[in-house]
Amino acid sequence: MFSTFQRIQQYWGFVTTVTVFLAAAISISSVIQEHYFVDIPRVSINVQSIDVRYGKPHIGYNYKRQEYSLMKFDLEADLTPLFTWNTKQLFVYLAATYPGKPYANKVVVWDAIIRSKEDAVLSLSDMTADYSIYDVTGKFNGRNATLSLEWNAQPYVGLLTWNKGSERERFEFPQPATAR
Amino acid sequence: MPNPKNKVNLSSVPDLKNATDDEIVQILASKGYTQNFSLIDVRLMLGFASVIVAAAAAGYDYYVGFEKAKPFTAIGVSLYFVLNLAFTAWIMYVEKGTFYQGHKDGKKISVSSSAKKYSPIYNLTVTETTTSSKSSKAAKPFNEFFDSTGYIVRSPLEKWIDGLISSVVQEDDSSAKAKKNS
Amino acid sequence: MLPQLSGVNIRQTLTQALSFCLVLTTTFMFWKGLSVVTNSPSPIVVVLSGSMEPAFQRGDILFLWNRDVRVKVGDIVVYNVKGRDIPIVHRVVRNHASSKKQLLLTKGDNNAMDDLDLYAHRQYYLDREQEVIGSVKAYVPWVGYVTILLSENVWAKYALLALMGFFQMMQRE
Repeated sequence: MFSTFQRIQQYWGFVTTVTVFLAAAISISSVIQEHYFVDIPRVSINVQSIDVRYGKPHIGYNYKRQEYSLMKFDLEADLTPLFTWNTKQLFVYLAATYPGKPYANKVVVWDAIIRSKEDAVLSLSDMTADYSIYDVTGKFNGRNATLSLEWNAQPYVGLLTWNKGSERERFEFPQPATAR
Repeated sequence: MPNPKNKVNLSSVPDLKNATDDEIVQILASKGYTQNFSLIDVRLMLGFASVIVAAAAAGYDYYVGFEKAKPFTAIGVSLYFVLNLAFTAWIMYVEKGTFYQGHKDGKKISVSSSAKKYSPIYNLTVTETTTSSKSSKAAKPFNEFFDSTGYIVRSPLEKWIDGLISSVVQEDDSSAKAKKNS
Repeated sequence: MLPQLSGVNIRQTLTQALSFCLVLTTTFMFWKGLSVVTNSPSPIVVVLSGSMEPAFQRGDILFLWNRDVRVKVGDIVVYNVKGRDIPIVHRVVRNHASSKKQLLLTKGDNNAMDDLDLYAHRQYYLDREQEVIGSVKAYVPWVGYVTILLSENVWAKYALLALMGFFQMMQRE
């Protein structure tokens, strides 16, 4: 060590190395915890009502006239076990999956950001979906769909993880209430 | 640095080692040795070859775009790291600290040095490479050829290297004289 | 003696130039190697906007992966809309996938509305193959803030380059 600059460089290098190893250790430990030691929470989803209308969807920038859905649902889930010491937030979303001719589809109808363990117990009843479903073809034709709850755990540092509840709620798109 | 009369930071072992290496090269030149640059030339060629590969990969990627350049980029990256590995291996296993190769009157010598990061000892090896490889090793602290202000002092260094050379290079007439310093 | 000495000098200058070049090219080739492995032209990105807050803030660093043929709903993707240069990091909220093509709609977690007004005129979906350059797999906070400073202040960039070059020329080994 022979000059102030060299000393700073040396200390900085050491601090960087230690920080990188620490961050890697934190990330790996939380991924292992999530993968092996956390049971996937039980979820209950219930579709209260599903309507299909024809026109411009209320939410979003898609102004095409087409069929779009309006949904109300109940949701119960306790996601507190998903919070490890490296969980910054959970992004939770309810997604509808339905088949189609050229395109198979999956659309988020509701989402929430959960930032602490205390807010991780979800108990929603008769909740209005945030987003309408609309199809590439513009029509649903009475197709069947399933709803499932999924989440993305966002770490303070390291790997992002995705997982989902095993429960599925089935529903059918009705014919549009307002015919053209 | 080219100027032999540069002041050296006495607390920096790499600086001391480099300055000593440079000074020995000059001493040998003044004694009439002709330097052979093949070791350093191979090193420079390996190094600059990898730089050229990197420049070519960068240029091709820039002009045709990522997708089209992808296979060539993959080849370039592999080639670059192979060349870099060869470069490192050359320094570690072939040069092994050798900073001078040269000859005088048909006698070839090779000089290598090393110094540990936090130890003020200069290890010097002179090897006679004409026929066999007879070598002579010695170690001295830097303060024997640096003054307290950081300037190198040539005479003790010159005496030292003279002794090492004469211990490995057989003078045609008096081989007995050479044995005294080893 | 003079030509011999200049031979020493040329090689010493070349050696110093080489060590400077090797620092630059090694960094660059690591980047290129990573981009080949991840199949993404830009495998590490710095977050530039707050549209994904609180997940990502300005200056956070994201590591991308682009070898999955289809991305999923809930994935956070980085996309470049054709004709617009700024890469955007947003979450996939709609996925319509056939065997040949995947259409996506994205939305920032912190935005009230979806991304349709960020897309090209009359474009209703992103094309996974053409426009998505990777999905986010790992996250490191803050570290990228330096590059924001550097890219938003041209002189800071030149000053850093000059400083790096200077120190590299000053020291050997």
